Amino acid sequence: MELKQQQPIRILLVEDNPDHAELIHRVFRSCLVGNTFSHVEDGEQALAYLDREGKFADDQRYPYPDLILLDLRLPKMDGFQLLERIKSSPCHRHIVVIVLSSSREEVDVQRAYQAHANSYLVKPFSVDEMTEVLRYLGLYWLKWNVYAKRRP
Amino acid sequence: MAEWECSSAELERMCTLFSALFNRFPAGGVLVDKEGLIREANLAFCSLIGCEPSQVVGKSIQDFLHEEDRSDFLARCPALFRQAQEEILELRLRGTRQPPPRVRLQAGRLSLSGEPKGTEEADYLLLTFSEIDERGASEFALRNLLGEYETLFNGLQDAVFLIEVGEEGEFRYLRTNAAYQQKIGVTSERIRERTPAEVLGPEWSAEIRDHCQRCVESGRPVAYEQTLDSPAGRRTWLTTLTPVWSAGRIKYLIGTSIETTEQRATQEAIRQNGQRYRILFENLMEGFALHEMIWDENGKPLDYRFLEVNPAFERLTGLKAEEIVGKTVLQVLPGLERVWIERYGEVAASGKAMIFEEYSAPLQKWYEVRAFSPEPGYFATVFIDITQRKRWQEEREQLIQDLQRKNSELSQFTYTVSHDLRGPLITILGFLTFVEQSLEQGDVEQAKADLQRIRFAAEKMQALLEGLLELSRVGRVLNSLDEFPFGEVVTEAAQLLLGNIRHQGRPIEFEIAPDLPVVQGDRARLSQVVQNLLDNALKYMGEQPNPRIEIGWRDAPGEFLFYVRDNGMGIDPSYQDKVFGLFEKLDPRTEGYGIGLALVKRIVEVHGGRVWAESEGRGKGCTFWFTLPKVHRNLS
Repeated sequence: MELKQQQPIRILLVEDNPDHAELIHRVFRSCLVGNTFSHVEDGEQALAYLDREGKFADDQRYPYPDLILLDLRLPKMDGFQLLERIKSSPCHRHIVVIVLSSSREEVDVQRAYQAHANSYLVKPFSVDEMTEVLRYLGLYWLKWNVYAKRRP
Repeated sequence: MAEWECSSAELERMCTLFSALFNRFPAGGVLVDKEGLIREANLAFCSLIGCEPSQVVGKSIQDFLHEEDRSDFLARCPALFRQAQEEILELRLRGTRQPPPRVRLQAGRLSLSGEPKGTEEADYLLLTFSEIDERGASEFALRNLLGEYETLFNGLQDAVFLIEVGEEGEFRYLRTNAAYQQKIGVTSERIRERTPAEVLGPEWSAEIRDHCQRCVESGRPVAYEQTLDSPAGRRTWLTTLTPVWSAGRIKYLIGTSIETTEQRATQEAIRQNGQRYRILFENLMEGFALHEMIWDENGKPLDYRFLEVNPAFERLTGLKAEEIVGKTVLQVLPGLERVWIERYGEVAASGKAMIFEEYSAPLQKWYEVRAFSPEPGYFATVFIDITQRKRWQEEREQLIQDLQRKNSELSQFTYTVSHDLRGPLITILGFLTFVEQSLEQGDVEQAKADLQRIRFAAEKMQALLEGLLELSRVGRVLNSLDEFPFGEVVTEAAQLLLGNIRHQGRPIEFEIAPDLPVVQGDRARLSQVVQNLLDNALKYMGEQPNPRIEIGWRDAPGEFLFYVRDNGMGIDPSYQDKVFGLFEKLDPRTEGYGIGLALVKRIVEVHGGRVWAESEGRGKGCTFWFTLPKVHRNLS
């Protein structure tokens, strides 16, 4: 099943583990064709990406995201701090942020929602599950969800 | 007859003299002839009958005798004239006085021819009357009095007895009153004229005799208490012996005995009770003190005075009773906190008891005090020393805090571990699927690349597990506690890293302080600390063209401060604590798994030290500090 909106949805993955990033990217490619996919390794890069700093000023290569897939355990600034920064920023807080973490811990879930995460997903162990997760995630967030326009 | 031949003048003088003597004679005197006529009467007689001498002389004596006694007198009269013996009669006179005076009559025979001889009838009788009314009255009164005394004597509730002191000093009971007989159970008859030994037996009598002796010798009343097994039962008596003097010696002892059996029993009970309280007071584990509150004129509590303290008080406060009783607390402890005086002031004023715990700085102790007011203005305290308990409490709280910290560390640790071990697993399982897909599609190259990822993930997992194991070992035990020069450990660690001593082809400048001190600790573990810090410094040397690592130390009170300083990449100040977290890596591209610094932290903390990082920021190098106590407490 391929999902396509009238407008392609731009996705930013924040993930420090390169293997996981590759895994998610591949699954994404297999089921969510037509949308754009970018990847940064940590929170500082993510903020730079959103603020269009340095190389991220290139809108073509690094499109401003509608949706962020966020790992919580990141070096330096961790996922929560990044989430709080995004959701407290008047420019970026409209972005849908979906936490994708290997943690099921209640404290993490609580803290993520407290920081206004839009959804919280646990990284599945198998590719099939991961595919399923991303597919449904795609169905909802990419097909039906209506996004706010980027604020100038 | 020559002697009769005296001059009439001489005779007249004699008569006058006789008359004067006769008249001055204190008893009534009358000269009566054989006919019973009064020939002479003196003034005393006249006053006895209340008549003038002129009314008496020449009258018959009968006229002045009471009608009832007249015949008796007349009957005896002839005998009086003839009898040589003086006879004494009692009779009443008759005159103007009422009631008729009662007199004792003595008759003396007189004859003109001289002293009457034998039964020769005398010519005259000299009758002398002495009034016996007064004496009679006093005898009557005495009889009355004796009666009253008898009544009193026998009516007394106290046992009374009279003891006669013999010439030889022996004692005999004379009389006892009714109460005595009733209470002692010995009748008057049984006791009269007997010695104490005869009445009471040898045992008690000796004691009584001693008391009597004492009374006689001292001439003063003697009191003694005695418990007697009398026929009425065992009784206790308080006896007072009072000496009675007669003819220059103590002739009698009056004894009065009050029964004190019940009093004694009550007293004994009170004494025992008191003693019991005293024993309780003396042996109470709690300190006890009674105080008097001192207020100022506005009723504000100023101070208080120690009135009484028990031995436990002395033990618990270290204050000695003889040094503080009577003094005020501010005299004894000038540095005492106001709160004590205010609290006690409230108790003494309101009478409301109070329980509180308070620290006394001058005594350096914690006390739990119960204070109450036995009467307004006073207060008593019962207290225990809870310093030890407080210390235990603090230790317990410290322990609980430690445990809580450890627990949270542990849960943080478990969280990190489970989280970080899942990472490689997700990689392995995920890429295995891709490998399968690649092989199905015949894309061997892709499969090989993915298998490589799987291998690295598995290796990472192994490394993580080993790191965990190492960390848990460090947390559990220290191998041994040695004393060794810290410089040795540093040199060894530097040599182990010799293979890495060149950084990206550039030689590294090593500077080790020559005077590193001797430390106490687990040599092997501390060696790990140095190795890991050096390893870390090398790893984050970055693009530094002149890499340099410096190891030095500082002396501080109670501990040594060591540092490992590099001029490498440095750390953003906001992440300086994060570097010690397990599996934390600031740069995902560097080697290692975020275990080294966690291990350093663990080892240093187990040694009782602290560890921290200092860096002015990125590219400005970094200094890792750690401390080691000079003297170790229990390191287990």
